[in-house]
Amino acid sequence: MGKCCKLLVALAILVLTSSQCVAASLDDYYLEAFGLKTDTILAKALLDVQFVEAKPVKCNTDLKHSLRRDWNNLESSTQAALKTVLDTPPVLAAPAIVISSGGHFRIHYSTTVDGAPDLAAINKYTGLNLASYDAWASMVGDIFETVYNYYVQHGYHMPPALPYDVYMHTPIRSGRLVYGLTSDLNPVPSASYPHAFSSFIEVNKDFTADVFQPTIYTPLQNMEVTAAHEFHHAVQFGYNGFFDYWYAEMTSTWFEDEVYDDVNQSYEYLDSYLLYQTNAVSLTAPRDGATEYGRWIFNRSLAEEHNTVDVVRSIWERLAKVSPLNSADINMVPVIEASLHAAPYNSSLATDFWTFLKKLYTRDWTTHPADLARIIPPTMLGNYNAYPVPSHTVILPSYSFAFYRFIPSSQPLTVTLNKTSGIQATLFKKVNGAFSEVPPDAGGNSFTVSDFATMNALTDEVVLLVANTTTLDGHQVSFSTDGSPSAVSSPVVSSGGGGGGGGCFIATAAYGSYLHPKVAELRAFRDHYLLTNAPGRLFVAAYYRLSPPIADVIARHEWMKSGVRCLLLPLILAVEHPAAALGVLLLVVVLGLRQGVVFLKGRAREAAAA
Amino acid sequence: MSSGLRFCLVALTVALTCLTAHAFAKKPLELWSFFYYDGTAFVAGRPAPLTPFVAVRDGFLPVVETREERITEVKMPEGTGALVGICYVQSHGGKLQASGGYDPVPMLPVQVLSGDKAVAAAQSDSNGYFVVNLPPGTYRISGNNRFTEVTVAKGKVIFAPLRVGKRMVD
Repeated sequence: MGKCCKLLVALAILVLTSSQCVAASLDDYYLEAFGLKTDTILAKALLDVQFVEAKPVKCNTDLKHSLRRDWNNLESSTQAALKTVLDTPPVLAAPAIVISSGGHFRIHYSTTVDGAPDLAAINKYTGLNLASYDAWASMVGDIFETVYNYYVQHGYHMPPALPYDVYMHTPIRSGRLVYGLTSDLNPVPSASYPHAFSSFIEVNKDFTADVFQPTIYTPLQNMEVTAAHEFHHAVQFGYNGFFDYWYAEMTSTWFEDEVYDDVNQSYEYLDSYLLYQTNAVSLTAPRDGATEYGRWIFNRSLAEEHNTVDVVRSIWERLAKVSPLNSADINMVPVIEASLHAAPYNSSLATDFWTFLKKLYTRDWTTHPADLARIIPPTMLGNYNAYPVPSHTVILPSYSFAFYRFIPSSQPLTVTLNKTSGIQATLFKKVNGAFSEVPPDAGGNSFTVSDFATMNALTDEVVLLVANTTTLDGHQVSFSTDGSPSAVSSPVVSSGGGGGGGGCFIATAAYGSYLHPKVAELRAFRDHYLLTNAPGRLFVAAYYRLSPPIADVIARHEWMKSGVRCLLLPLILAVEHPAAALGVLLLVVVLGLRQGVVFLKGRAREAAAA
Repeated sequence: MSSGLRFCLVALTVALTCLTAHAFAKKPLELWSFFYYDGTAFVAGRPAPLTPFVAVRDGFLPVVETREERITEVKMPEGTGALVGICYVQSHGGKLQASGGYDPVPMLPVQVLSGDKAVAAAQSDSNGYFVVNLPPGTYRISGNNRFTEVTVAKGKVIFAPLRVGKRMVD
């Protein structure tokens, strides 16, 4: 064999070997990360439970996501070993199980050094003297039994498939620790609960990390409120797995304080809802990971208004019978509305929301009196001490509110309003710590505080509360103290095509498909350049009012489509090539001006010659 | 008319003609529309680099790719349509940090049902996506005991996001 040939063979072997090494390192990485690494490749191929070492477990979602991404690069034996990892529930290394005292829960935990609860830290923060993982797991089981009994006593239907599985480990989302996760497992339909799902819970194994503030809330307290919170999600899955998550979070967070009144962690979340800076927050907003935890306070108001916590259960019971539309989550607003309309409540969401808002200011809470100070007063969007106050307009999303404070001055106060139909408004007076509502003047569009000048500017105040108590975003109210509030306009009811992925009707009709690249260009232009400013939004609203009938005609006449496509070309050119379009436009303007000047000079010459 | 003005008019005409021709010109990639799954729906546009997207073109099978240059044209069989979907677990919430989002579910068997009869089967790829070529009609797509209903039209591509799990974070 020649030298060249040998060199080539050596190179080939080197390349093959290194690729094997790379493959092996990726396989080993995942096997090790999930605590499934064995000593030899052969052992890996013949993977069996007995070969599994007690390795640090990292059963977190992000790692699983990476595993899914790299799945095709793994050896088939590795894929076989890790397939169980991708299946929920989590796989714990060196697992152990404790059955709770009431038999309703299986508490799973890991007994590896890194995967097990930190007993020393738990003991340090709680003053307990736990000697074994088993003792902590039993204690956790007792907590879940307490929560279970609370919900049973309050008439809740328990989730299917008991005993219920609870996994103690270190759940992580988006690279951060979380208190707990509740995930659905399988549909378990029954006659009363046709859309029920079984589920399982993952909770932090000991809540001793700084992020859980163990010096403020002991690991035991954190476990208590997390159990109350997560197990209500399990109850919710048992009612109807297609629940709307904002109300699910509102309910679970509310129950933290109902089941464990002494922990008071839920009050910390009120800031996100009540202390906003500029934009009012909708009670029903589908916002993620923020205000929905603070909105639990509305459930307390509901329970107080109707003298029973059962009012919230009635909402979940009603949801149980509602069928999802093509497996989409169910809008909770009509469900809440229907529950409140029904006997014995005979109310409405608008009525109860308005009552709740008044209570936010007057602080007329009737339950949990020891915790009243924990409910922070809501943000005042405006504080006025110079009069007259010129017209100020606020646009409110569905079921949202705004407060404005008027500090007493040496003259009477009349607040005049101009509002659209979905706005409710009232004016409060606080004198010597006592709250009262100022009756509206004749006509209902103004409020006069005749003793404003005699009120104490340091302790007294007048507060305007305005709220959108409808399901429609964009109701407006304008107010002033000089009698001239600005004009307001009613919100536009979307025709289904505006914004966020809706259709450009005419272009869609002309190009024949929503998917056409040119239609996509126009949509992107609308979303990025028109819907981001007020004039653009006005244009889009007008377009969506006018265009559907035109689009309908175009869609029904093939010959019109090509003509409209030609007419749309300049617009598409401008969207695709804004710089070129601007250049052409400027060129046309310059040429036009030049032509005009030439024309005028010619006329002048003709006049001079004449 | 002065020669300067004539020159400008010619230049304007040439510029407009070029731009119009450019807009009409159909380069291969411009024939495709690009979509990606944003956690709630398939939306028009291109996602972050190397993130999977769906290239869609009427009359052709949709392509799930991470690089545009790798898109290959495959005509739909005569009289059929296609659906492209993604299997995912949806997450909501997060007390300490907003942690909503979705996790694609790879290697998940997906069934296409017409009535109660299975008419096609697929498996989600490593990014959770699946593509099925079907005759026109209404179908139920099933994965992990969850369903979604879709209507396939001749020569068209439709999207079928299939939520196969739901998770409450905190």
